[in-house]
Amino acid sequence: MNSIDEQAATDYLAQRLGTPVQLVKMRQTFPGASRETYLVDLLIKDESHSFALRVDPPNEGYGCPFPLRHEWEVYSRLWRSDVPVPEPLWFDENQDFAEGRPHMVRRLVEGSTAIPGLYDQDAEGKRLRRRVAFECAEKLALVHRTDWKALGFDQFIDPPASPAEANLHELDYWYARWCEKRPYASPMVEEAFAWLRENVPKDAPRISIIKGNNGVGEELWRDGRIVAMCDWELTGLSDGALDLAFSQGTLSLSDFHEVMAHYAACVGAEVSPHRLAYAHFFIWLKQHVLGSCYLYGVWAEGRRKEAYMLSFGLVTTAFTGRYVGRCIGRDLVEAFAEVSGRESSYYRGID
Amino acid sequence: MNHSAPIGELIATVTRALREDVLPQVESGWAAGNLRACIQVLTYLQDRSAMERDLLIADMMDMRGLLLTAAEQGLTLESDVLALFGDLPDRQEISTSQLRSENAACREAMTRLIREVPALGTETGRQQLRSQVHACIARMQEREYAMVQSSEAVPPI
Repeated sequence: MNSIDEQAATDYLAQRLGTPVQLVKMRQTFPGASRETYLVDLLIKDESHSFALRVDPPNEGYGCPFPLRHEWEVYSRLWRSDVPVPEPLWFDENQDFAEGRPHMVRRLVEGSTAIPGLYDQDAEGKRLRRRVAFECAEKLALVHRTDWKALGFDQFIDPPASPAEANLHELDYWYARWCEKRPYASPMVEEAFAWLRENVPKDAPRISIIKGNNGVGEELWRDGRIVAMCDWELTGLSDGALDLAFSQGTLSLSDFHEVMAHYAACVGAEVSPHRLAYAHFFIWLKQHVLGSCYLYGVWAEGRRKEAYMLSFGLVTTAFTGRYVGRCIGRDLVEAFAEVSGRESSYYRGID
Repeated sequence: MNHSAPIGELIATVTRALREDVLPQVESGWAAGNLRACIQVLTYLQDRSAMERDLLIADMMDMRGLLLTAAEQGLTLESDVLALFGDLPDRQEISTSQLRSENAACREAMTRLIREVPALGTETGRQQLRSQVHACIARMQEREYAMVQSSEAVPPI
């Protein structure tokens, strides 16, 4: 469902780039729950140039709490850091394009969200999985070490008061979103927030930029390396350990304990079993809130109508609800030991 | 009505056609992804059409026991929820939409219970109540999961 047609995109890019352009190819990526994303290949003075055009969906129906401007602020700041991100070019809104919806354009980096051979069941496949898991851990550690104050992240994200409050601050944020947006009552969600609040870790070593969803399927990879980290729609300031639970199976591609030790060496601090277990249950709960409020809920409000909003909003929430529901009230570390490794089953297409 | 084929069978026929006849012909990444999402939702609907009523009633029976226990420890139950609990054994006769409304009312009552537990009864009583809440939630989530179990085989990504 291209809500932006090729001619409109070509004319707009020519106008903003200030030069005649020739469209080679334009395609929309799937699914686009948070934004519509179009990959556009152009010829400019006989040279190939590729861009990604991200547009907020109509009716502010983005499948997350944050509008595109939030994402733009992340890209434009990280572009000045060591974190590899595609070059952001411009953000605009209220223009005679895309019905005035907020949009941004960034350069397209050569690479792929898929990694050929990643699941090959031979020695090379095993080596590749280890390399990919380590690479993901290294790049997450780089994000978590980044000086967010120097980059001005506190100009658009409310930071926790201290590292000890990093996890509680994030928990409070998502509970507020649940109370504000919940499309139905859920005893599981209500009790899960209470359970996690009683067990919230206070030993985060620092306040970090957290990326949100990460790993294979999110970043751009080339030759087993991440060349650009993308999809920063859930970025916040909290405990970096939360990202370790949001890699969608990437960090479990090789021995998870070895990968965690590598991450700890890169970031300069151990991740306690309690923090790691809490992170996983919190991320399952956060995914559940996202699916309920911002996918199913946005559909139920009539602001989006794509079938995949239901797919993720109805089906995925049943999985995340089960993971949390079967463990709720138990010791976090013990419960996580029982369910760890199962979280990736839904993403079998990519891991 | 002349056509009495079960809804689940009708949905299964459409789902199969989309999966086996249409999907292989769709090349575009976005269109193929969205079609897979449709197939997943249809698979979910097929199971839901068969299981929903039993699930709604089982959830309510589960929540009733817990909420009545909580009421003995001081939780105030809304009059509509109390009235509903008296009629629960007769629920097989009413419409699915009515069952959904009643289930939603019970869930709201459970939410109030969870928020008010810290102020209810004795410490021992609160701990017991909390354990019962956890067990009830685990059963409810397992029942919900049963409805999506076969959808897992057809992810959209």
